[in-house]
Amino acid sequence: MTHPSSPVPCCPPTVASRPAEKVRLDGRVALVTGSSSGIGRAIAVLFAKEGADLVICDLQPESRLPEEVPDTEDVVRVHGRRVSFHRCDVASENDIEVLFGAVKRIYGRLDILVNCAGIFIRNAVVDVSLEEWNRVVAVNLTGYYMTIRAAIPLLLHSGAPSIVNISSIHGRVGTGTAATYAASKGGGENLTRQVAVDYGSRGIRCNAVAPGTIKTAMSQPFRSNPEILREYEKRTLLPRLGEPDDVAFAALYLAGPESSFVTGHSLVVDGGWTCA
Amino acid sequence: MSLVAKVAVVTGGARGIGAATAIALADAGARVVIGDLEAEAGRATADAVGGEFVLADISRAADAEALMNAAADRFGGLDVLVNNAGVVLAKSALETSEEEWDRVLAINLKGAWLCARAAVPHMIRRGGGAIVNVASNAGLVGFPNAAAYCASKGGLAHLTKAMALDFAPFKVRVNAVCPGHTRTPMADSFVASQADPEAFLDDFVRLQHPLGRMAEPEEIAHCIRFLAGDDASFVTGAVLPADGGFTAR
Repeated sequence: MTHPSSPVPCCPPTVASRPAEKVRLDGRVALVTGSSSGIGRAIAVLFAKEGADLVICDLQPESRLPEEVPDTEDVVRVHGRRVSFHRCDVASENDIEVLFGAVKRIYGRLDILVNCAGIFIRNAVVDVSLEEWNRVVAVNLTGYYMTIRAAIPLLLHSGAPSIVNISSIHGRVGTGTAATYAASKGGGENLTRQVAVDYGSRGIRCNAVAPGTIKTAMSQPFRSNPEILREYEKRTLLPRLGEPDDVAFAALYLAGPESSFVTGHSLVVDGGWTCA
Repeated sequence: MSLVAKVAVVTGGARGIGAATAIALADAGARVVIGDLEAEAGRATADAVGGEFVLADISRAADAEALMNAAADRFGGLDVLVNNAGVVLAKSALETSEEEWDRVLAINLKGAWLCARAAVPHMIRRGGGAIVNVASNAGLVGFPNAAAYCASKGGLAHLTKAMALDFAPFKVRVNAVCPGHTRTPMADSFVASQADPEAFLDDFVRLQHPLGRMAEPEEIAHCIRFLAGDDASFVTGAVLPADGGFTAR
């Protein structure tokens, strides 16, 4: 056996002979909250590329980063899928009712729910007002509960139901004076496990993705602070920060058929932050 | 999730989850090399995926190195290592002999480290790579009458995080999948060794896995393929249960 210091490639793979990759969400109906910017936007676009029809929602249709153009709804249409945008505050029970009314009216069914709408406040616990605390928990935790509650009756009729909650590594480790956000995300992680246990026997899978530092509008103010950016880069083992697509691919994996035996898990997409 | 032009080594690829993984990786375009102690079944799987078979006892450093070198020689490099080779021992901590303990730890834990150590230099030459360790839900929670197995799989889940740290500068990602009860020859033998196999299956599989069933090897293979491929390019040090909700309880 020769040592591989001088590898001799042989039998190059013949790309042409491989069948075209099948789309992974063909014809499924997915609801993605927080779809206008960042991770939610990347998920909506990737799911459309993979053959899903969509209902998407956000507080406003426009993205929060100038490079995120055109609007998510228009990008999804380019991929030839059906899509319907709804202005929605996930912390409002009435808005959720209207949103799910639209899902039922347009598609009459739902296969995938992705909870991505979220807000972030960077504050130590003594500096958070009760009003701020209530708003963060209302969007990041109560909002997830209300969409899941509304989705389950529809998901029970799906052949491959899946819920994906976008969480955060802040839901499992403390860092960066984010008490309110961390509390809300930790609650979401436990909600994920509980839904998985309660509805597993009826076929509904429920998982989370826990991103580290992702280059989104939400993290932009902190990434532009050199001191905080250095900390982010130091804690991220891989030599880059995350892109919204990194989280979208994880959400696709958890939403689709590849993860059919995975439920109750929160998958870290953090470049190694939480393993040290 | 394309693995076209990638070269993958799957240890313990003769049967069960390893064989399903070899097929899943080959389906995505990878060139697959199987290392196993079982020559006949190993060759059959290798033939089925158009890959290579190497007879290897991965608990021996020389065999682990020979396996990685053979893969790199045959296909020009190495990109993916799936540390899947493993054995189960249905014995309590009181019943386990020193020899049995050493054998389980040598294959399930030391072997994974030896294979990673031998594989990473090849991956560095390619500018990066991915290692997927097949641990177990027994590496996350305790099981009765499986002390050495639990220790080895818990060690493997933790080794995953330590190696993720060591190899991140080289763009080599290290992750683990922790399968729940999966329909494989190894799991079947574990069930058969129980006092009342039928009752064990009913309680353990149907009641303790919230999805209410056991996994097929292909379902675990698809998780391994996700972690091996570029869709997971920002995922390292992750320990991913594929256990039907077992550890969410």
